[in-house]
Amino acid sequence: MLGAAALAGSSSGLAQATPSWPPEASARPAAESRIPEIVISAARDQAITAKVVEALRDDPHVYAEHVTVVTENGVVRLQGIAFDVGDMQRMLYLARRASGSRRIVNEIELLVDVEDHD
Amino acid sequence: MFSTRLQRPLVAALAALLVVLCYSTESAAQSPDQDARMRALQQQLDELNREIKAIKEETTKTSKAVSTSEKKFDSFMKGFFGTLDASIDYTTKGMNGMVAYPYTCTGPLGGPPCTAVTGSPKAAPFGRVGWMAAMSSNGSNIGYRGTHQIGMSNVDFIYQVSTAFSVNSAPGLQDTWTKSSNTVQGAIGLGDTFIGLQNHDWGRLRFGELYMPYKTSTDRLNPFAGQLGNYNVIVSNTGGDNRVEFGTRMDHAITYTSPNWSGFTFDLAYALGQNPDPSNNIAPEGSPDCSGANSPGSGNLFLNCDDGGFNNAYGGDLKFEMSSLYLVAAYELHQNVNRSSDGVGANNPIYGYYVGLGNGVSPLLDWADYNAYFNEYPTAAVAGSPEYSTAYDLANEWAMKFGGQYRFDFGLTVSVLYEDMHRDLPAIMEFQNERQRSSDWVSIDYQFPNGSDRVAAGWAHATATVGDPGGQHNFNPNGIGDNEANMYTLAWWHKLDKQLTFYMDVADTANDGNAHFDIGAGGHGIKTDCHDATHPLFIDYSSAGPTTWGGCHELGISTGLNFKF
Repeated sequence: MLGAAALAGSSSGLAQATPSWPPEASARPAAESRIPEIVISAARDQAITAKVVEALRDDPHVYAEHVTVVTENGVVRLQGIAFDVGDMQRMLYLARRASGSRRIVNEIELLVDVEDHD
Repeated sequence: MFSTRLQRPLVAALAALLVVLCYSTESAAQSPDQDARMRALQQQLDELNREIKAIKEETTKTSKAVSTSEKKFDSFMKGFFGTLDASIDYTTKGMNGMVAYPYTCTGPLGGPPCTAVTGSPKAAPFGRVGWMAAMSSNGSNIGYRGTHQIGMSNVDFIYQVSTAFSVNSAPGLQDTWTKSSNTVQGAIGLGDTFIGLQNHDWGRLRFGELYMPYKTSTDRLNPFAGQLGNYNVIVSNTGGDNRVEFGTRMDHAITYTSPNWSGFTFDLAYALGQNPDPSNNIAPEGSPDCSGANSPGSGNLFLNCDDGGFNNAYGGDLKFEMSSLYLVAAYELHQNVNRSSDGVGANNPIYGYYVGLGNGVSPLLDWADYNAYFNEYPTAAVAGSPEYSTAYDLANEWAMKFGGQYRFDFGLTVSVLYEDMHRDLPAIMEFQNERQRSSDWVSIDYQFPNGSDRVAAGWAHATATVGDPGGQHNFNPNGIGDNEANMYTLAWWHKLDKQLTFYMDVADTANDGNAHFDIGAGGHGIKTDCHDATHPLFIDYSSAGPTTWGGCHELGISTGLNFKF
C-alpha cells in the first residue's frame, strides 16, 4: 500500500511543466514565468512524495507496506498503520530526511495489540 | 495466446490473396470479369482487415480487464495486516521463602498498630514460584481493514475486523486459577473491530470494539509494548496484578478523531454502559464479560461483576506534534465502578472489625446478600465473608496523564509520562482504596543509524496508594502506604529484514511489602505475577481463590521473534 498521490494539477499539465524535475537552476526563472504556480507546486509536491516513497521503500529495515505518503503544498503526510514504535520513528526520520526537512504530519496509527490474559 | 493463434492463419490468408492478386494482375488482361473478381477480392481483403482489427481490440480489452482485476486483487490483499510474536521466557515470581503471619491490632476501628503473631505462620507460597521457563505469545493479531468511497462523495466508509490470538496454544475461553472470562481468544472481534465514516475535513468517527484514546495516545511512549516490563505493568494499572484498568479496549464504543490542525489533534470516546443493574453487578447487554473484563464470579467470587464492573466510560486526549516533539494529555472516566468484592476474605483488620461487630450491624457490609447465601449454602458461607455494600463501594474512577517525547536526529528518543489515578470513595471507605495513586515513566530508546538495531531502557514507578483492601496473603496492616514499586526494563531489537525482528528483553519489578505488581501486564502473554499456585478445589464462592503475595520480586528474561505483514 506504499503509494504516492499527487493532489493538485492534472497529469497532462504536470507532464508539460516538468519534462525533467527539478529544472536546472539557471533555467528555472524563465520556466516559472510561463508555468502557473499551482502546476509548479503540484510538481514539486509530487517530486517530494516520490523521494519519500523511495526512501521508505529502499530502507532495508523499515516496514512501511501499510503507509501512504501524500504531499500537499510542501507538507508531507504519512498515513496508515505501523506495528511498533521503532518503525514509526524510523519512517518519520526517513521522511524528514528525504523531503529536505520539510514539515511531516504524522498520521500513522500505531496498532499495538495488548490483549490481556490475566 | 488467443490473438496469436487467430492472427497467424489470417495473415497467411492475406498473403495468399496478395499472391493471387499479383498473379492476376500480371498475367490477365483487363476484362469486366477480372474487374469484378478484383473488387470481390478487395472486399474480402477489407473484411479480413476488419476482423484483424476487431481481434486486436478484443485482445486489448481482455488484457486491460486482467490488469484491472489484478490491481483489485492486490488492493484487496493489502487490506490484511497482522503480527505474529512468540518468545521463550525464563522468569521468577521472586516469592520463595516468604512468610505470612496473622496480626493482632489495637488501634482505632481494629486497625494499626498491629503485632504479627509470629508463632503461628500461615501457609507458605505454594507451587513453582521460582525460576521457570515458558513460551509466550505476545500481542499476536490478524486483521483486515479497508475504505469504501460513498458514491461520488468525499466521505469514506471505513471498516476493520481483527482478532488477537495465541501463537502457541489453542483458542478458547480463559479459565485459569487467576481469571475466568467468557471472551473467546482467537475469535473474530477480539481486537479493534469497527465500522465508521471518514472525511479529510472533519475527521473520523468509528463505532465498535475499540481501544480508548487513553491508550492509543501514549502507545508511542512505550517501546516495550507486548514485552516483559512494558509500561502498563504500572502505568494505568491501579491495583497491581495483571489487569490494566485504564486505556483498555471497550465494547460498544464510539470514538472520534479530529483532523490535524497545525500539529494539534484530539480524540473523544464514549463506551456505552448498557447495564440494566444500577450497581453494574451484571455483564452489560451485548457483552460476554463484565465491563472491565472477567466473567461474573471470576476469582471464586459470587456470580457478580463486583470486581471492577462499571457503567459508561468516557475518554479523550489532546495531542500536539511538530517536528521531533510530541506532547500529549489524556483522560478517562469509568462511571460507578463496583468493587464490593474487595472485602471478601480480605486481611485488612478494619474490614475484620466491621465484620466482627456482628451480623447486620455495619452498614458498610452487604449482610442481606450474605445471609441469603448463608441460608442456601450454610457450610460454604461460613468459610466466606460479606461483601462491602454497593451503597459505599460504588464509585467513579478516573485517570489523567501527561506525556512528552522528543527524538534527536542521531536516533535517540526520550519519553516521559506522569499519571494520576483516582477512585472517588467516601472518606469512611478510604482505608481500603488501593485505586488512587500516581505513576511515573521514563524511557530512552536509541535506533542505530542504519535502522537495523534498537536498544531501550525504561523505568516505571508506582507511588503509594491511599489505602489497601488487604487481599494479600501476607498483608501487613502496619504497612499502609508501603506499596510503592519500581520496574526496570532493558531491551534490544535486531531487524533481520523489513518484517522480521529478533528481540531480547530483561525486566525486574521490585515491590514494597504490600505491593503486588507483575512484569507482564498490558500485553505480554505470560504475566509472571505475585500469585502462587493455590487454587480452589471447588467453586463455593468462599474466597478460596488465588493467593497473592505482596513484596514479590519478579525478574525475567525473554527472547523472541516478531513478524509483521
